[in-house]
Amino acid sequence: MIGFPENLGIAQRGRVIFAIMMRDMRTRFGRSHVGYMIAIAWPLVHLSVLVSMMLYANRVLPFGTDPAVFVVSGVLPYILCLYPARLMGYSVEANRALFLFPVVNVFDVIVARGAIEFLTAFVVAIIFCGALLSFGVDIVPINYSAWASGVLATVYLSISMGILNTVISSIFKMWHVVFVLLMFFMYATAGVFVLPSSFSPAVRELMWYNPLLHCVEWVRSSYYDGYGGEMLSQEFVLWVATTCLMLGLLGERFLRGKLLGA
Amino acid sequence: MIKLIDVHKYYKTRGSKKVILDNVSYEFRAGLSYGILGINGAGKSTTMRMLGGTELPNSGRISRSARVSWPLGFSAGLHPAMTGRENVQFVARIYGQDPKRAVEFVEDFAEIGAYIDEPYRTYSSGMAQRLAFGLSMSIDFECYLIDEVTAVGDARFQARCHEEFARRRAHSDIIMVSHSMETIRSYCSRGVVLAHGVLHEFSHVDDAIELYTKLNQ
Repeated sequence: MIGFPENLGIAQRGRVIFAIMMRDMRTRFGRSHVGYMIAIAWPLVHLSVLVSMMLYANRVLPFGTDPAVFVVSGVLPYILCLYPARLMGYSVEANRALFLFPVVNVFDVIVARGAIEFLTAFVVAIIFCGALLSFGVDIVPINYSAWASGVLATVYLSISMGILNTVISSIFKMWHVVFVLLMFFMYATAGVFVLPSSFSPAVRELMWYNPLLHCVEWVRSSYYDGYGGEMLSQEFVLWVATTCLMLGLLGERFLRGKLLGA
Repeated sequence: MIKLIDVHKYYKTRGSKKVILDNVSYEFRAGLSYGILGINGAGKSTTMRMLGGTELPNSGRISRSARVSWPLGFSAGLHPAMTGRENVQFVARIYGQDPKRAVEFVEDFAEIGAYIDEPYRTYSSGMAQRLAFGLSMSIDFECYLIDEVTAVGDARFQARCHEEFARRRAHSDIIMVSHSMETIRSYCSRGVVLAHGVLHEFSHVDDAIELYTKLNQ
């Protein structure tokens, strides 16, 4: 006797999620896996343009290191956080037709989309860092564990925001616009291009509530000795992420009927 | 096989509440095939979707202890930009079946020839239905949910569907909705009439049809 779909084993869940990932990658742009390259090229171009601009402007940076390192350590959290979270928000809408098959549930499509987005984000990060290294930019952090934990915390925040984003946007169509605005504000106030400490204390106090700022500071603290002491709160990132995750999971559970239909 | 436990389902239409199942407890048993009858708008298709699990009740529980198909008769769920082959492979994968075997079966059953490698959106409605139907037949379900699907294709294809179903009767059951009493008679051993939010079961299909005919007057 085979259990009903909602209770199938881990292996079966994995199969469903993997099949949805393959389908998603194949159909995102045009109808071949090659089209998926666009998904990788897009953020890669974004990164390259920003870093080139910064290098061209040749800004005076507060530290003696390569300016590329400063920009990359600021933009990396964006690539690993806001991009995936935004695209995860479309998972239910994009795959709603699949709910015809009872074996597919809401959580599968969210997980599948999340897995693809992180695969993409990491491929982008690896290609970009590899290219910088080959150009002789020293982007190897001095503190590996701080770097790894910073990246993981950023990914955790992203997944949590992504799940909540999916649930809200499946119910309020307007939400996508709100989320883009939110992204813009988070990006603008995360201290990506300008050191947070160069702002006035009043502005800094407001910026402190942006979890992405802490992600940026966290990753940067792995490059610069003694950096991040005044603003960085690792607990804040983890609390915001956990809160979003809980709200997202609760939303998925209680609005499942709506998410399936709608 | 499929158990409804205190299931309540309603729709809101322009402020008024339309009850489809009013705290119904019922069991569809393995080894029997059921025909669901009801006047238009009674909620037969909604009930089918709930049995399949693609729609949830407002309260109560539905438990399935068998491999239940999706409600056949809808070809949604297939991606228009993917070829027939890719669609079949995808569905075989999510159901944990061998994609290659499934494709072979569908190629043989749906008789769409080289179109199997064309995007699904280029299919004629007949081909699309044959593909969707062949696809559902390529996966071993213990219970098939059929929503008005018997009118697929020409007479020859219908005969094949009938033949294929007859072969499956040994280990699979059917729950179907149809407006054709003849179809219900030939496939089902039990009749269930859905009316006013209640399921009335009849052990003779003819009795169910009689009630249905009365309700329709």
